[in-house]
Amino acid sequence: MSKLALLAKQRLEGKSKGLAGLSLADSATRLPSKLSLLAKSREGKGILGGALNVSDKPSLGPKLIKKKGVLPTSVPKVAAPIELPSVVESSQTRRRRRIRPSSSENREKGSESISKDPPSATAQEPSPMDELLRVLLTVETRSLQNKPICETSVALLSTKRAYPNVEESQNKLRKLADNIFLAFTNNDPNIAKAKANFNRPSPDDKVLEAQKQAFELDLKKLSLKEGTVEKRSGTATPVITETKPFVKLDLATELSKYVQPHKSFVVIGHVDAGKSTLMGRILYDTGTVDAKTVNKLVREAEKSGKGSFALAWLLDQTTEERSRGVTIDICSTTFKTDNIIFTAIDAPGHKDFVPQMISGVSQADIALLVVDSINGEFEAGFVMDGQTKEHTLLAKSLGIEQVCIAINKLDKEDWSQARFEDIKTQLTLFLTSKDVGFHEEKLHFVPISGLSGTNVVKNDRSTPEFAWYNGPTLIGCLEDIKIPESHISSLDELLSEELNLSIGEIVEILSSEFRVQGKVSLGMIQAGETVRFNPTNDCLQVQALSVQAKGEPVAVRGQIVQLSFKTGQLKNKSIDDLAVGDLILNLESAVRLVSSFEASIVTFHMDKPLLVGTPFVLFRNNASVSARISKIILIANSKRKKMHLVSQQEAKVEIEIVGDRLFPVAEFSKNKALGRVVLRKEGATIAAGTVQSLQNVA
Amino acid sequence: MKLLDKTIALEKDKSGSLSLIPQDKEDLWQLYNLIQKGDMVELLTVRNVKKTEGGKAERVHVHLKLAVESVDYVPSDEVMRIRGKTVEQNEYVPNQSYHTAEVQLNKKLKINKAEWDDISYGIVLAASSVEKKAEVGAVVLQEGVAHLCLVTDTMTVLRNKIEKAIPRKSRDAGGSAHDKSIAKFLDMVQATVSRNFDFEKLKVIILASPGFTAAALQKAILDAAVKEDNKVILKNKSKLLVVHSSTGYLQGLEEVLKDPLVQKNLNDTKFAREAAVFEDFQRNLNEDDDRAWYGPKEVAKAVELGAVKYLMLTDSLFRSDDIAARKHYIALSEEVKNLGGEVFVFSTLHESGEQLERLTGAAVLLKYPMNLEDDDEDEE
Repeated sequence: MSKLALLAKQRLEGKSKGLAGLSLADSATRLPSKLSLLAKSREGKGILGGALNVSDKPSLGPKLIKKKGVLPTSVPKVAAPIELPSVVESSQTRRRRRIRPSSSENREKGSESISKDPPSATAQEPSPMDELLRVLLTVETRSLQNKPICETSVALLSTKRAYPNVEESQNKLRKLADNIFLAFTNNDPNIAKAKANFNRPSPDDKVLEAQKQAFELDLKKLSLKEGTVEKRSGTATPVITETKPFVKLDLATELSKYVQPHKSFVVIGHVDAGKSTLMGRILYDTGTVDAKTVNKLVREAEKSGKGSFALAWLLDQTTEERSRGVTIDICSTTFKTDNIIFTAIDAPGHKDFVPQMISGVSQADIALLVVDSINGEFEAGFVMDGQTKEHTLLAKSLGIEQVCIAINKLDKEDWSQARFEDIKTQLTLFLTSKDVGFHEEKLHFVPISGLSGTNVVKNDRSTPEFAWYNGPTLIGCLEDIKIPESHISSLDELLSEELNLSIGEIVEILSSEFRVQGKVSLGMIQAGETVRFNPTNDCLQVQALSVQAKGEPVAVRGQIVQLSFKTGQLKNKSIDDLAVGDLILNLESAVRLVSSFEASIVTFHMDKPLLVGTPFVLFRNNASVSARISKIILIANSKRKKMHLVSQQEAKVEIEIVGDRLFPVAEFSKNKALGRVVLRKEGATIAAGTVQSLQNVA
Repeated sequence: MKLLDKTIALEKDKSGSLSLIPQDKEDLWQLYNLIQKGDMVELLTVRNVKKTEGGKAERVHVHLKLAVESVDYVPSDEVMRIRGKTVEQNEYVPNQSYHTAEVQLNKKLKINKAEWDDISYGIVLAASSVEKKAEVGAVVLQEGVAHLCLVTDTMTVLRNKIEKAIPRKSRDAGGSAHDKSIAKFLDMVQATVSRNFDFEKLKVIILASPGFTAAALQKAILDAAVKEDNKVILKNKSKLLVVHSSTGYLQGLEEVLKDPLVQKNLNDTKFAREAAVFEDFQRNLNEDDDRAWYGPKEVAKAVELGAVKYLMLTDSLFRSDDIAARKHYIALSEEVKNLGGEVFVFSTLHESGEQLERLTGAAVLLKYPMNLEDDDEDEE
C-alpha cells in the first residue's frame, strides 16, 4: 500500500522526521508492542511459560531473593538466562495465587524447578533419573491445579497449620520441598546441564525470534508502510485494528486519474416542472440508456394513459411513484459526456418529500433548478409555498454555490425570448436577494424543452422560433461550471483532511454483507481500511469500494462511492441500527457526538414563531433528527430577552436533540459539510444556520 | 374515576374529604395533579412487616392514613406513588412511620384536604363525570418509521415505535426491493395497530403521514381485516381517518390535531381545543401584534388589566409545593373567568402543554393589543 497513507501518518506525527528516520522509528517503536501482543496471545498456553515468567515478576522479587538465600548452590542464575517480555503473566498463575496465598510460594518454587528440568531432560540421553523426574513432574502439575493427588501434596497443604508463625512455616515447607523435588537435581552434573540449557534460547524464545524475523520480513516487504497499529477504542469493542488498504497505490498516477473531470448535480424545482423527465431525456440522449428500454417504457406508460411520463419512469421506478406520477425519493445515476463524468441526482419536487430532496442536495456540487415556463405554472411554483423558492433556499443553506437554471417547457410558450427573459429577471432578482444570497455570476440560465430534448444535450437549431438563442446547451453549460470546492489542488491538502463520508443509502446485499453509498465530503478512503461509523461507533473494514459502479482502490473528496462491509463486523450483527445520514470517519476523527449544541441561525418566513421548546426537524447533510431549541442566547438587534423568534431574525440559540440517539456534528469553522444545519417544521423550512460550539459531548 | 362520597363544607372554609376510586391509568395522572403535600390520604396498601423480632419480613395488606409529603408519577410505567408519614397507629405500623404507597386501580382512596379550591375540586368533577371519555388512536408515520400513540384528555402515550430500514430505489436494480420492504413495513404497522388499538373503544384512529404512506396503511389495515375476517375493524372502518402531516416524527401528531378534519371529529375534546388555542396564540405571537404574551409577570399584569381572552396555564403550576404560587394562579384563573375570559389548564403530558411549560408555563392571549412591557398602561 501506499506512500499515501504513510505520508498521512507522517503528517500526523508532525513532519519532524525524514522518511528513513520514520521507517526506522516505526519498526523500532512498534516491534516490541507487536511482540508483546503476540506474547499476550500466547498467554496461558502452558504452565511452563507462565511459571517461568512468574519468576520475573517484580512483585515476586523479595521472594526470589529469599529463595536464593536458601538454595545458594542448587540454582545459580535462576533468572538470568530467561529473557522473555516481563509483562507477560499467566492468568492461571495469577488466579491461583489469589485463591491460596499461603501455599502459593510452594507452588511457585515447585513450578520453577519443573521449568528448569525439561531442557536438561531432553538434552541428555534418557536415564532412569529422567523417568523419575517425569513422575514428579506430573505429580507437581496436578498439585498446581489444586488437585491433591498424591500424599506429598496433601502433606504440603496440611502442614501449614502446624506452624503458627508464617515465616517459620514457609521455611519448613521450603526445606521439605527441596528435599522432595530437588533431590535428584542437586548434584553437580545436573546443575551444569541446567546451566548450559539455560544459556541456550528457550523454546519460547525460539518461537518469538522466528516470529520477530517473520515480521521484519513483512515490514521489509511493506517498505515504509505504516505498521499495523493496535488501538484501544473507548467503547466496549475490545481491540480495533487499523487495517491496511488492500492495494498498493502509486500516489502520483492515482491522483492524476482524479484530475479527470467529475461533477455531481442535483435536479431541483417545483413539482411537475419536469425534473424527472429532463433527467430521463439526458440519460437517453447521452446514450446511457438504449432505445429499447425507452420504447418499452413508452409502451407501458401509454398503456396506463401516461404517455408523457415515459422518460421520467427511467427514474421513477417504484409502483407508488408510477401510479401517482410523482417522484418520491431521490435517484442517483451517472452518465458520461465526451468530456466529463456526471453523477446526477433526481430529487422529488413535492413539498412532502423535501427531506429526501435535502438528502440529494447534500450529495451534489451543483444545483440544476428546473422551472416550468408555461404561463401560470412558473408563477405557481414561484409563490411562497412553491418549491422553487424553498428548494433554492435549501440548496444555498446547504452550501451549494452554483446554480444552473433550466427554463423548461419553453416549446409550449413558442420559444418566446420575452418569456425567457422575464423569468430570468424574476429569478435573478429572487436568487440574488439578501434572503437567498446567490452570486449573480454563479447563476446560469438555459432555455430547454425536456420532453422533446431541444437544447438539452444537443441543439440542432431546426426550430426557427428558437433561433435567437446562441448559448450553450444544458449539458454544455453544466460542463463549463467550475466547482472550486471539489478541485483537489494538492496532495498535501487531501492528506491533511480527515475522512468524512455521509451515508446516503444502506442496502443489505446478502445476509452477511451490506453496502452503503455516500459522498466523500472530505479526505479520502481506500478499500481495506478500517473506518468508524458514527454515531453507532462500529468499526468496520471496507471490503470493496466502487465509484460509478466500477471497482476502485481509492476514492477522494467529491466522489460518490459505494462501499461494502461485512455485517458480522457490526456490534449487533444487523444493519438496523444504522441510519441514512450517519457518518463514516477515520478511526481517530475529531467529529463528536452531541446531545446539544450552540448554533447561530437565521429564520426565514414563518407562519408561527419559533418558541423555546417547539419541536422541529433538524437536518445536517442528509441526516435528520427531531430537535428543539432549549435556549435563546442572543437575538440580533433586540434588547429584550425573549423566548421566541419570529420571521427574518438572526439569533444565537442552543439546540437540543430529542431522543436517545446522539447526533454527530462539527463546528462550522472546522468542517463546513457537517457544520450546516437546516430547521424545518410543519412542512416548511423555517431557519438555517451553522454550528458554533458543541455541548454535552459524548 | 368514581366519586363515592364527599363531606366538603363548600360554603365555609372549603375543608373536607372525599372518596374516589381510580379506574384507569388516566385517573392516576389526575390523582397526581390532585394530591398535594399536606393532604391526608387513606388507602389500602402493601407493607413489608416483620411480625416477630428478627423474623422474616412479610408482605401484608394494611389500611393506612398518610400525611402526604410527596407524590410521584412515572408516565412510562403509568405508576403513581404517594409518600408520607402515617398519622394513625395500627396493628402493624406505628404512628409517624414513613410509607410509600403505590396507588392501585379500583381500590378506594380517601382524600382529606384543608382546602378544596376550584382547581382541585374541578379536577375531581371533571374526572368523575359520567361522560364517556374521548380516546383517540393515532399513527404518525413515514416510510420506514411509525409511531403508535393513544391520546386522551390529559395525556399522549406513545405505545409503539416501529422502524424498518427501507432500501432506496436505484437505477440499476429498479424499485422492486423498495416496494417489497414498504409492503413489509406496512404489514408490520398494520399488525401492530390491530393488536394495540381497540377499534370499539377509540373515538377515531388517525393515520397521518407525509405523502401517501397513511393512505397505503389504511388500505393495508382494511385488506388485512378482510383477509382475517376481523369484524371489529370492518365494522369500525369509518373511524380510520387519513390526514396529512409533514413528518413521521412524533411531532407530526401536534400538527395533526390541528387539522380541520381531525378537529371536526374531535370538536368537543379538551386536547383538540387546547391545541387550537395554543395555535391561535402562536399565530398572534408571530404577527407581533401585542396580543400574545407569556411569562408570569406579563400574565399577572394582563389579568390585572382585565384584557385576557384566553389564559393558558400548565398543570405543573398547580402541582407546585409553593402554596402561595398555587394560590396566585388560582386567583388569576378566577379573575379571568369572572371577566368572561377562558382558562385552559394544559396537561404537560401533551405536546402543547410541554411547549407551554418551556415557555414559562403561563401565557395569555388578549382581547385587544396591549403593551405589557412598559410600566405605563397604554391601551389602544
